[in-house]
Amino acid sequence: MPVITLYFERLAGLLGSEVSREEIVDRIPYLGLDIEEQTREYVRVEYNPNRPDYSTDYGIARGLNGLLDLRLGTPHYQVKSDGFKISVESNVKNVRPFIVGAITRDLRLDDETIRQLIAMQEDLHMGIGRRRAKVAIGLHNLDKIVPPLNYRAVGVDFSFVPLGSNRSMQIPEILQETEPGRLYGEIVRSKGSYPMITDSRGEVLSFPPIINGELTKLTPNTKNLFIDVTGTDSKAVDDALAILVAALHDAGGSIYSVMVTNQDSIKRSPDFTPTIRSFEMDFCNRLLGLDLNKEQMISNLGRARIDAKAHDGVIEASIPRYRTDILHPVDLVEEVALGYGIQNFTVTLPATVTSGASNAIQRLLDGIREALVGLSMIEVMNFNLLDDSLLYTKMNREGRSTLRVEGPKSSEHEVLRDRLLPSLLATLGGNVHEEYPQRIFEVGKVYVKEGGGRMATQENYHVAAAIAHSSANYSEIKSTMDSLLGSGLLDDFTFRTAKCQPFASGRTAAVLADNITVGYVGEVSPETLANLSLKVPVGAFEIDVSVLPKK
Amino acid sequence: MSTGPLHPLENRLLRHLVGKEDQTPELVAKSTKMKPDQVRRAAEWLKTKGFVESKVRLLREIQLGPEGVKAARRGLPERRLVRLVSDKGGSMSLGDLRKSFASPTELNPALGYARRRSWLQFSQIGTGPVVEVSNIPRPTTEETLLERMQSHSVETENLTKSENRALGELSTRPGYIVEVEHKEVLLRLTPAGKSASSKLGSTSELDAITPSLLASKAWRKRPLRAIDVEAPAPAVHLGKKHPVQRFLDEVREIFMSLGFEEIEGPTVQPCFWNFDALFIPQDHPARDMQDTFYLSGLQASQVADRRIVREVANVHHDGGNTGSMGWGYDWDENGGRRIVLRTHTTAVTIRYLAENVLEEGRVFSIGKVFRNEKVTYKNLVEFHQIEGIAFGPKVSLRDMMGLLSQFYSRLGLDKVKFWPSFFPYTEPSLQSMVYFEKMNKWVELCGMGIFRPEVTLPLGIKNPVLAWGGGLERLVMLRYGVDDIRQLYQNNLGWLRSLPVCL
Repeated sequence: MPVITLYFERLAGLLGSEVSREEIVDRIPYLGLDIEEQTREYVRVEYNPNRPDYSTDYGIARGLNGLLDLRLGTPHYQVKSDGFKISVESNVKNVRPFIVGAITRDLRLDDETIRQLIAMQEDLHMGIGRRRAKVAIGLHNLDKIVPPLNYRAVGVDFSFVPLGSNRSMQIPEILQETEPGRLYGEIVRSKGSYPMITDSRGEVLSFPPIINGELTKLTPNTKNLFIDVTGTDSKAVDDALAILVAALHDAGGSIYSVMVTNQDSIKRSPDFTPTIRSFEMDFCNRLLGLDLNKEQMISNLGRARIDAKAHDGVIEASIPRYRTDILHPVDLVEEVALGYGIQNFTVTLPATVTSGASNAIQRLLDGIREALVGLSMIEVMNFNLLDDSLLYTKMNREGRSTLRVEGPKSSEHEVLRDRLLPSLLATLGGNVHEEYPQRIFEVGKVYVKEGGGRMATQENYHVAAAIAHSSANYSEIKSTMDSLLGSGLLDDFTFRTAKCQPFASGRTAAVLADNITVGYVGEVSPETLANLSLKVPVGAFEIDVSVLPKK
Repeated sequence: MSTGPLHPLENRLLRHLVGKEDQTPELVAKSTKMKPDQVRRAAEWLKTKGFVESKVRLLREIQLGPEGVKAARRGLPERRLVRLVSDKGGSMSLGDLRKSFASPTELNPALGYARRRSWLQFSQIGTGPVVEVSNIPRPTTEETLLERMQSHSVETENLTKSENRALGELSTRPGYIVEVEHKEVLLRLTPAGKSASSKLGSTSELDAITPSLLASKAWRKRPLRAIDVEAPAPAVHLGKKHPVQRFLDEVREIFMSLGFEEIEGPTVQPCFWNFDALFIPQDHPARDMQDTFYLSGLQASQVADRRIVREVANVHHDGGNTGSMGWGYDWDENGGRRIVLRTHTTAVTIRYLAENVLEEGRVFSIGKVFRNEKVTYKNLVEFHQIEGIAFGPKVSLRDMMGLLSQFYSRLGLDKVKFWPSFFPYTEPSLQSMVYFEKMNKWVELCGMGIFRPEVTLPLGIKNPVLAWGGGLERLVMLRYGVDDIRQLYQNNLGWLRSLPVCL
């Protein structure tokens, strides 16, 4: 989850009155933020991805002002107009159809403000923007632009000077030579034409979602900004713009709108009109287990920076435009809870009484564990995912596993096990320096492809055991298996000569019940012992618990 | 050191030493038919009991050197010389002798020794000197001594006067004689040992209780030999459950005691149950291959009932009739068919709720969950998640906080803190931490929330569902004082054997 740094000195300027450092740190968790690190100068917090408005200290200060009763209710944003226009050509429709923009004037951009804004832009790209595919944001020096702007799709031979370069480059070169080109080129490459924002002189502001032009680069002296937001989802570009502009407003900028004109429509952005949503007080009280009246509800929402009014048991809330996380009335219920303060909740228990119960399969597995522990065996637990060579090559089995995961970060976790014995024997291999005799077992799930069924795979519980010492042999492991099966698992079973890797030929038996093979027992083959660097003989068995006849 | 009952070996040695002085272990071994090693061990035990003392005697032994060994085998050079000359008829010219005597360098000394012993004389015939032997002399003391030393080393103290002289003579020849020193241990009884030996029981003591002894009732006549009951016994190892399993059992018991019923479900799930039914949009970063294990080339042919699939599609698109705005995109059923290793047990609980539409109840599940991450001291690729849910027409956020507090309290954790959090499928959502007295620290454990209406309503679940969950391994580590999560599944037998069973 994303992390941001809050400097106490900056926060002091953003809060409605003087608040002690301790009080700030004390309240931060109740905004839903996790404290990662704290020093005298700053505190680093992790915010949840549903609250991209918390990606700068401006957003967090808005929340703190509410919880600390310093500033309540929906913040208001004045948006002026000075006739700035973007005209959109229809050929972007299949490339990157949506664009909105905004202007901020008279900003003082100190180093930390620039850092916060760039971090916010990056967080929005990763979150709402889905790595720029859905939304990308460009920040520009307004004073270098001669409006109106034009947004269109251009051909592959279009060229301009990209940010950080001193020469004009064609699109394929930009995609290949620049870092953002290599990282995000995939998003536009397949479309055949490329989105481009130019000004009235034809100078390039941005090639979204890849890179800006060098022309409009920000410097510490930049005071007036133009912001473009492009993307593939109309709501998402509006959301990102609102979140960003709210922060720029709180940073001291005056906001001016931009007119976006299509063939068939004109849209003014940014739009800070609050969204009105309502919920029933009763619904809220029941869900929280509280009994709040309408004044309390309204004041709690105010502390969560939401204006509200009540009529006939219904609360109507004005949700600020930067709150993109409120999809359902239940989200407002949480805002009431946050305004109330989670620390102020006392706990209760549900009124109804229920009776607990165990699960039949777990009871059976517990019985198996008890029997094997009674036979002086130690339980081990191995992973469900392991490497293919252990499952096949080292066991002398033909073929390879069919249940493979895509892109594992480690080759030790590449396939789902279809039996327990390989990792159980590997456990013995990892314990050659421990005292013998070694008697171990494992109970766990194994996986196979389901033959044409609905869910693609089938999972069964198995139990496997192994005994290793200098004179371990078939008869000893068979006795152990006999005891286990006879302890209530099977009423009747027979052993029949069989072949099954990794057991040695001539020392392997299949165990049958009602003519179904339920498991194998034998002495592990010398090849497999050598593969696992085992220096003593090993007797082992494995039983498929799921095929045991139901009693 | 206890002087307790004596071991049978001690018994035999003590008996043997009575009335004898300066016995070497080898000597004792020979006459008692014990093995030398057994004698030495018994002697050590008896020494620590103060019954036997030992002193070390330094022995000087003489042995043949390399030249001596040669001479013992082939004869002294002068003997070989005399033999050669008499074989050639009793006389040889010095020139012939030089040609036929085996080693020319030995010839001059051999001539010297033989002449000194008057075994031969020189005469001048014709052109050169001639060597003549009259008769073959009898073996000398030196020669018999050499012969003897070929098989035994000898101690100087045991030699006769003439042998001593002969030894002196041999020692003047280079490489004939070497002297070695070695130590010999001599055992004898101490006064305490003597008195202990006088109290030794009769040799008719019984060594063991055997079936034949019981049958013969011989135990009535002969006493049972006392053994050293305080001596260490060989180790045997307990069978036991894995510590994670033990802890899991404990958690299971707590859930059941709080009125929860255990449910089980597949580890491998279609995306539909792991993500879509939980209102996680299809472009959500958590669904990336970066974080989630997808099974390659597999799809579920049917993920759920048609009605449920349709409702879930609607809720993603525009909220359906749940009162939500939805995510505003066209949900793709094929995305829901892909197969993943569950990233949370919520896939199991939500499927249970969908397939068993119930008014109210409490269930829990414990199972493996998977994350495609790098393994580190605090992260595993697969670990256990515990999850409890309670649902009913009147359950509330405060009830959830109460149930979880009760759960923690059964684990001995009485100080709990809650604060707001976020999960895509619950609202409101909280996080909790508990205080560990022993470690004097707060540890973040379970997250919780009330399932969103976008999750419950499409599945036909009408009442609120409280859910909480967290990793199990964290708790196991705190219980067993483990710092590195990987240790839990290394299955080191030394560690598993050392873990207490009675906690």
